[in-house]
Amino acid sequence: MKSLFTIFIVFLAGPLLAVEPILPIPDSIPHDPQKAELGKQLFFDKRLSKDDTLSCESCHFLDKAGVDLVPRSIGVGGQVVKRNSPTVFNSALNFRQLWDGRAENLEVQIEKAVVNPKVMGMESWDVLVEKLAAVDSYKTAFQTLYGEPINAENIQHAIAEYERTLLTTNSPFDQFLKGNQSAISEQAKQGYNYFKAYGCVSCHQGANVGGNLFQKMGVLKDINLRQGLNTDLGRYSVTGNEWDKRVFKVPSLRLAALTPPYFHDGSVATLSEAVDVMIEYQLGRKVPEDHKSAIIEFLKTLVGDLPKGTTQ
Amino acid sequence: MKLNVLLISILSLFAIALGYNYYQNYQKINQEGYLSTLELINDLKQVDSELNTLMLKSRYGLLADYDELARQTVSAGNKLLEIKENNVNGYLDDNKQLQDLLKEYTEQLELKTDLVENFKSHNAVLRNSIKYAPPLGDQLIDMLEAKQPGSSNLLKTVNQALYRWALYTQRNQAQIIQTNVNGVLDLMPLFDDQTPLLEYNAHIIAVVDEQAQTQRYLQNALDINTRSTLDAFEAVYIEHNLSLQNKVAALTNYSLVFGLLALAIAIYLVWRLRQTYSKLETKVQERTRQINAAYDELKDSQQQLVQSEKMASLGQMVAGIAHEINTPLGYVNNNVSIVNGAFTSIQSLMGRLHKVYDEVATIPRNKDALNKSIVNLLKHYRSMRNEEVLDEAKELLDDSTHGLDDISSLVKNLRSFARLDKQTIEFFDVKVGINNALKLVNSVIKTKNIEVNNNLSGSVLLKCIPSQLNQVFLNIITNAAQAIPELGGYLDIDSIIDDEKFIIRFKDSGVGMDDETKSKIFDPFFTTKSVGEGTGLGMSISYKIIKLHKGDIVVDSEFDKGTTVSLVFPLEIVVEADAEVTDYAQTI
Repeated sequence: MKSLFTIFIVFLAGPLLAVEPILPIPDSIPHDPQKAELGKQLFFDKRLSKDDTLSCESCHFLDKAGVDLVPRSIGVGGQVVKRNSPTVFNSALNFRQLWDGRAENLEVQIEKAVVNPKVMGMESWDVLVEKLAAVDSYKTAFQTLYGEPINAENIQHAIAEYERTLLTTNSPFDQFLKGNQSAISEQAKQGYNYFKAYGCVSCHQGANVGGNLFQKMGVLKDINLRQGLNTDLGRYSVTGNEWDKRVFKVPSLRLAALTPPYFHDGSVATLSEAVDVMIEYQLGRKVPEDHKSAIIEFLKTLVGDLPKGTTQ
Repeated sequence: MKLNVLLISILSLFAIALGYNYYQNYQKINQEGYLSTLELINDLKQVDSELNTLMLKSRYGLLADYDELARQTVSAGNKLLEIKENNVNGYLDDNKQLQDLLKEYTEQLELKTDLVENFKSHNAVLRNSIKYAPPLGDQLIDMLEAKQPGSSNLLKTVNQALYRWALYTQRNQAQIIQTNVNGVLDLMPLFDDQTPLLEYNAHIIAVVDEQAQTQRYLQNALDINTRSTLDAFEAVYIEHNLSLQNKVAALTNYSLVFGLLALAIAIYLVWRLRQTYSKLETKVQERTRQINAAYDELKDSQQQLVQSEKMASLGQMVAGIAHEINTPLGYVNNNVSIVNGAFTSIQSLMGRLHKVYDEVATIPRNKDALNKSIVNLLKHYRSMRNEEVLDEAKELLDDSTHGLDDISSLVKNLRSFARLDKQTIEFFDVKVGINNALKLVNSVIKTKNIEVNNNLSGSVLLKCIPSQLNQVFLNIITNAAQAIPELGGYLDIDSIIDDEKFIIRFKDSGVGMDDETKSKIFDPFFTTKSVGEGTGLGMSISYKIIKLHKGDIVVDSEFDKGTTVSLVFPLEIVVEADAEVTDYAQTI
């Protein structure tokens, strides 16, 4: 009984003792500025695609919150890719990359995107390396910065280094977290409380407000009841585990206010609608409209400053 | 010697093999890599326990975000990768046990990561429902109680069980909920708005399911004994490194032993070398002694030879001298005996004179006897006078005195020549030396009717060992005399002096020499004379003597025509030359 009591106390006291579930975005992630600068050139370089038509930036517009604002991006040769492009901003804060988390880190994501026939469509990394090695500036830059000839690993690393600089710091909400009570509106504060109270924060927590765990679509209501979102089996295609059906990486909500359409297939056009889907299928309850709009107001405060020099 | 080479070869081969082996093993010891791997193992342990703590914190609501948990799982994967890449010189390849343990840990970590991910997902859902369901249940209970007291009993049971299950995982509580789930739905008719009840139903199912799942994943994750795998890996890893170090240490010891062995062998080799050396030295000493003895012997025999050459010269000389003495001695002897005859006649005269004296002195005087004695005396005197006995005797005595003078002169020469054994350096008149020598071989010269033209004009004083030069002169003149045939010939002797040298030339009209003889003339023991006449050392010794005086002997000879021997002396040994000589030289 005593242990039960202890746990009870802990359970109740826990939320009181616990720090806020959402953390400010760190000012920076360790990186080499020169390599990041080299990575930036590569990020904007269309030679990374098979027919020199696409660069990373073609789908991750830096002036459009790191997305292309379409349900699913158009890859090389006009092909429509499988899933919605998530923002490149704060992507370094995600515990894995891609919707199904099949890329352990940014480097792997870059590796996969370049040779994905529907995305950049390169035949192989060897071909790309050869292509870029013919560019004198790259050849010398890699030799200088990496002390070795340009290769797949250092290309991936350079781009990843650049992406590590793409953090949206100093958001109103982060300022609020750091103690500036007037940084966000009362409604947004209320929205944050609802966000916690309704359980959104169970998954959308941490510095990136998500992006650090997998979750199933439709934990409290069968997602099959909604057309569209049910077809993609998500992480199941990676692991083959039954439980992983329709499991996706919980996306970051940091720039959610700026990056419609929503979900892995981009099938939901507005933030309001997306919140509805989440409330219905993930929280399994009804939320009053005013609560919902407060939550949306809160989500808007998560948007931070775009880092300097993110445009070409 | 062959043993040495073999030993050195074996040593070298052994050293190379040992060195190579040592290098190979030493290379494997990368202490830095080893330590950093140990550090990584420790990091992994820490990450592991951190993961467990974080999961428990998340489970019991002490941690609201997954950032740290996500970071730790990523970190664990990275560190494991680092350990694999850190595989210093194939550490992991060498040791099957390490490979197996690392593989086991890799699998454990993959599984654990998977379980953690699942835990996170389910815990999130559970967290949501557990927060929402019980208070909703309380609301529903209140609503039912207000409407119909006692109707909420089932709901109360369920909600209590929900609290208990949520807070304290009890299987039976879960069963209570599960068995009553349908009963909860049966309460639907009692509600006007059925939505909350349906929500409640969904959430209690979620709580039961998710609680079980969360607990299961948590427990499974905690149950994976990654810690003991890491401990075992660490232990084996340390042991592996230790054994490698021991191996190297052993090799170091071997090297030391080998070094000592090599040193011993080197010392042995040096000892042997020394041994050989000292043997060699003894041998050398022995040989040196032998050589010295042989040299002494040779020197002795050379001296003997020189002596015998001297004796030979002396023999010839003595023969000549005997002849020289013999001739005057002969006629002196003859004269003396003739004079002796005259003396008898004088004695007889004197006797008759004495008779006359006696008769004169006899008183009374006997006249007849006196007359008779006087007549007798006068008769004898007359015959003596007629026979010119006294004149002849005087003549003979004069002649004998001349002969004795000759002998005396010869003896005097001989005494001068006796300086042969005197080895002191003196001032020596060349002319005197040559004249002496000529006198000593006079008999040969006379016998062969050799015309000697001694053109040495003036005198030259040489700083030299006179006896030695005499020997040379005698040798050359003797040779010349011997070379001149019985029919006679000439020997011209002259001298030249100039700014650089003083030359004495002996030119004979002898038989001369052919080229072969000429080429061997200074060789010791070379002689053309019959046995007993010469030792073959004369010219050889002469050559040596002249060389000793810093001079030179030049022999110019033509077969059947004659030979010219020139003695060339440097001016430095010429002490004094009278004007005549100098003038003569200037006329050349």
